[in-house]
Amino acid sequence: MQCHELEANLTSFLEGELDQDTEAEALKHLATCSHCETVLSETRSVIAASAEFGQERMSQSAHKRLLNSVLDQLGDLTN
Amino acid sequence: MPELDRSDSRFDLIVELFRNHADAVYNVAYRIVWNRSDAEDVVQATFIQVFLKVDQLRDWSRARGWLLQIAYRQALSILRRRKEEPTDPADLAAYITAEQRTSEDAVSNQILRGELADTIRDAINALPQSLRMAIVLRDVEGLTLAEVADVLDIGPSATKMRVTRGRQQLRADLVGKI
Ligand SMILES: [Zn+2]
Repeated sequence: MQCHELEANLTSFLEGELDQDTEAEALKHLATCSHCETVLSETRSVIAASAEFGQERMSQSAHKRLLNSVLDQLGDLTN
Repeated sequence: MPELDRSDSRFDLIVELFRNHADAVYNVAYRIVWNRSDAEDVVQATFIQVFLKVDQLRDWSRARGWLLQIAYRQALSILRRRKEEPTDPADLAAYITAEQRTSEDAVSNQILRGELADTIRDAINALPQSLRMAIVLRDVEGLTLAEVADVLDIGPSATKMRVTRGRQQLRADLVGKI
C-alpha cells in the first residue's frame, strides 16, 4: 500500500470497515511510514477535538424556554 | 379516556427526547441558519414534528439520527425562505464572526471553554457546508456513517468522502494548534 491509498482509505480504516487483507496492508504501511503514522494520529486528535469542543450550545435558559414553548404549542395542537 | 392516556405518554416522550437531543438539534440547526433565533425556531419546529410523527419511530436507538434528519430539513427550509442572507461560504465566514461577537451564548461559551474550543469550533464552521454537516453529524454528534447518509440523503461512498475530506481540512487547519 502507498501513502495516497492509505489516506483515501483512512475513514474506512478508522471505522474498522476494511477487509482483512487491506487492513493488514494498511497496518504494515503504517508501521513503516512515519508520514502516514502522523496523519493517522493527527486525524484521531481532530476527531477527538470535534467531539469534545465542536458543539454550538444553547444556554440553560434557552433550553427551558424552548421546552416550555414546545409543550405549550403541543397543548394547543391537541386541544 | 384511552385517547387521553396516549396523548399523555406522547408528552412524556417529547420531554425525554427534548432533554436528550435538543442540544444536538440546535447544534445542527445553528450550523445551517447561523443565528440563534432561527436555530431556536428550528428546535421548536423539530420537536413539534417529532410529536406528530413519533409513531414512525420504531427503533429507539435510532432516535438521534431520526430527529436530526427532521432538524436538518427544517433548517434547510428556513434557509430557503430567507434568501437575502449570505449563502456563499466565504460571505458566511464574515457573517458568522459578526454573529458570534454579538451572541451571548458565544460569550459564555468562550468563558466556559476557552480559546482551544473556539479554535476548533471556528475551524468546523469554516468548512464548506457539505463537509461541515458530515463532520458535525459524524464527529461532533457521533452518528454512524449510515445515519449521516440518511440525514443528508446521500449515498454511503459520498458520505465517507465528505467525512474524509472534512477531517483532512480540519487537520490542515488545526495542526500545531491542538
Ligand atoms: Zn505513507
